[in-house]
Amino acid sequence: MRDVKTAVWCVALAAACTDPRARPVPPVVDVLFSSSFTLTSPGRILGSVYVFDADGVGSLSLSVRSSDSSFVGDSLLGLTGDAEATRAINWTVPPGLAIGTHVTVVARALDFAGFAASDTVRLTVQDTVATLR
Amino acid sequence: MVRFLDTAPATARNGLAAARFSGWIPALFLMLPACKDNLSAPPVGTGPDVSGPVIRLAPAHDTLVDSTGVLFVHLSVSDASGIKNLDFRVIPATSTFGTLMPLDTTFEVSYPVPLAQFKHGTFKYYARGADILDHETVTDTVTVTVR
Repeated sequence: MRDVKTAVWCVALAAACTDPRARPVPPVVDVLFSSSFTLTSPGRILGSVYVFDADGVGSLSLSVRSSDSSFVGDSLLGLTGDAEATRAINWTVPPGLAIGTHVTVVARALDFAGFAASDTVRLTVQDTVATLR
Repeated sequence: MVRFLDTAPATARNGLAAARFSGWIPALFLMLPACKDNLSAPPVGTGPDVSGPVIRLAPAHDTLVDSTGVLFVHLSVSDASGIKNLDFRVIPATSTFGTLMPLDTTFEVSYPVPLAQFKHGTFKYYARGADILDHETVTDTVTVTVR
């Protein structure tokens, strides 16, 4: 009888050890732009940022930097611990950036487990006349 | 005699103990591989925005109206990434409505459609919208019969 109990305990322990819980991992961050998007000065940076984390996303920061440092912006979004969020990127680009100037967009997410992840997109000013189709 | 009697139960007890613990050894070997690091892939969400805006029309179904006044068609639009543009089309195109560019995640608008010109006839309308990732949505066409 005791051997049966031991065997039951062993099976239960083994089953508990195979619980398919994954180790905590950094958030998934994805900055998205449409294929037709072109950066102009003046103009707008129009896109979307997607973030996912099973432990809950705590914050999402967005920064924009032009290569000549004349265009700089930062934004911090506090999220409510949702596992998943999509937020619009809508940034006004000032006039005066020359064609060929690089603008770097960095989205960085921090989850409640303390992990961080980021996604970086490098855009290039293609025109100095605003177009929005 | 006493020693002999003492030894026999002791041997039996040792045998029982050995038999009891012998079951643990294969069990422990079974548990060790089961308790190895779990590096399974994390769960995934619904994923990034891959669909166009959600456009709700009101009236959304074929309808019958009197020929007096104006029919207001209400559009309620939402998109997680942001609504880039929105068009409202009436067929036949007796009225033109400009393309709206809300650049917001939710948007509501009402379009006035004068009814007198469609007296004893019908017209149709639909809406088309796209989000800033260029995902497009076209609603069903609604037929309005004017008395």
